[in-house]
Amino acid sequence: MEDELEQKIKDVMGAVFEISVDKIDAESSIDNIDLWDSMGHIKLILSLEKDFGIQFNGGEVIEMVKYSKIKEIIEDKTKST
Amino acid sequence: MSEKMKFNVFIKGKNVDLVVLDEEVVEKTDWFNWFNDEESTVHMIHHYYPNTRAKQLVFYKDEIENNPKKLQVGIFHKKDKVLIGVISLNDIDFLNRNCKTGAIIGVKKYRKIFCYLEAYTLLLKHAFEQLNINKISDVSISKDVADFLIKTVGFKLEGIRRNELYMNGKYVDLYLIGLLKEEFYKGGYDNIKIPSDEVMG
Repeated sequence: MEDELEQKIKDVMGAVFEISVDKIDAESSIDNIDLWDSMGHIKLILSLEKDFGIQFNGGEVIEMVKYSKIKEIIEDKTKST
Repeated sequence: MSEKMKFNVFIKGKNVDLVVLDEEVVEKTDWFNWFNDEESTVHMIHHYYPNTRAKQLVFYKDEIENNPKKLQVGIFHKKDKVLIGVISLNDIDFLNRNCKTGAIIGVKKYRKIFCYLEAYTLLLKHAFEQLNINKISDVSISKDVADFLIKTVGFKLEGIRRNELYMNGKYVDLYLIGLLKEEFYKGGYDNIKIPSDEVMG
């Protein structure tokens, strides 16, 4: 069962990259989503921060280029808050 | 084309090198044409008049070749052996130790965040450590881009020029950001660990 956090991440990614949420899975990354360019990445990071009410540091921003890594980082951050 | 050219490396990076620009680069690459592409220039203060190879050569001769106030280099993708963009330090002021920056990733495939960030940090490091620059300024018509550079590289927001430019049918604000040498090393440079090529896209 997909939890609320995963659905929320996929909703943000779907909106930013203009793709159906159904097409986002564990393998989704900067390599296989067309609109995930520099501007797309910037929009994604800022949208995730806004929707989850958290802040990413520079190192995390660089690492967040795969759905699985995004989920891992947000899980860690939301657990500790 | 650029794949067959030999580029002279000026600054070595992990996934991209910063390479010397010369007349051959103007003649044999698509550099001039990047400024004709609406998509490449959507966030830039460009795309007002068409650019040509001849105009690019004049720009190179007049603005780059023997100009100590401007340092412009190419961004060369090491794995694919292709020139993907250019990046520069502009208006270098050796009295007050400051300058401005500018960059374009012209080849769409490489418009990923790492190519830009790696090239950007390589050039900033060169400015601070070799040219003894104390402060670098940048501008953006995108609040998102300004916020991102503040977050990742350590820039500070210094002001907003309201309705400064007319672009895409409307007046837009210009975000002014600045970076001191100590801010780069304290807030930005240590956090920017550029990953290897596998995840670059």
